[in-house]
Amino acid sequence: MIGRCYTSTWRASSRTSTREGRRVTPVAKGKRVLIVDDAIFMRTMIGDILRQAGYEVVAEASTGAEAVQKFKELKPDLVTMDIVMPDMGGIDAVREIIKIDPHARILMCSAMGQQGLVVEAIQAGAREFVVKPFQPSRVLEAVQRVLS
Amino acid sequence: MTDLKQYAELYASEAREHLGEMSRGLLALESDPTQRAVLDSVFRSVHTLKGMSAAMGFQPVADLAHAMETALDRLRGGGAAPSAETMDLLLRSVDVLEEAVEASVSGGVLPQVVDLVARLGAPEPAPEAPRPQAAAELERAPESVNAE
Repeated sequence: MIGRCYTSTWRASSRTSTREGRRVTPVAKGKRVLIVDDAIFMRTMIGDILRQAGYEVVAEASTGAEAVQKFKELKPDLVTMDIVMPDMGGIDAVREIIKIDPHARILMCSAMGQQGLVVEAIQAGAREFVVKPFQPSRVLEAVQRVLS
Repeated sequence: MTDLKQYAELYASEAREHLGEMSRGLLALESDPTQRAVLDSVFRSVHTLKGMSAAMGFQPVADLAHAMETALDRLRGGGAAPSAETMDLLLRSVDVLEEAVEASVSGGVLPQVVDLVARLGAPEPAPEAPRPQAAAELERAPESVNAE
């Protein structure tokens, strides 16, 4: 199954030629990322994709509450956000983070069948979303669009 | 292409934790079906396992977890306590999920999930709903009576 990436702010010029996260992309340089997911497995996989592309993973969080706390402390350039998590879900975490920084750049990482929640997350201030299972090139394209 | 084998051990370890959570949660719900927090926790574990399995390309696990998630979400939305049949079906699904996880990781023979997926997709029968007249008549028809 190939992961699909949707966007409400699609710009063709922001497409990347990066494939499978092996090449460092110019936009990645110096960009600090907070990865939020309740599964260590998913955090590891997303972290590997981003690190291989040259991003710096500054922290990970396994709950929405932890994500908000780490965002306050670290002010990352990008947050990748899961939706279903214990102790504050991803949508509420987006709302809290946007209260702290209305310009926060948040990429939602959703599972299949969560279209309604994704729309809610975008309305709450998230910029983009990718759907699990992740294809590295799709994740990196979405990250680039969020950061550009 | 990302080599997913490097994540197999991490996947297996975390999947087993979630399977344990599901079993404990469902057994707790069986003795007290009103525990909403437990139902939510089981839902999150199933949801997380679905995303992880899809990311690993373990489609039968992801499919069964998706069907369980849908059934659990119906229970969360419905407010009514799950029937004994539904609890049995969910517990049976956890057993098959466990088999499917282990087989996926080891490359063993995968259990069939199609039947369970279909049964989980069927709506919970409404106990107080009047039985349709046509169905009742069919049951009385000679060909549907079990000869003893």
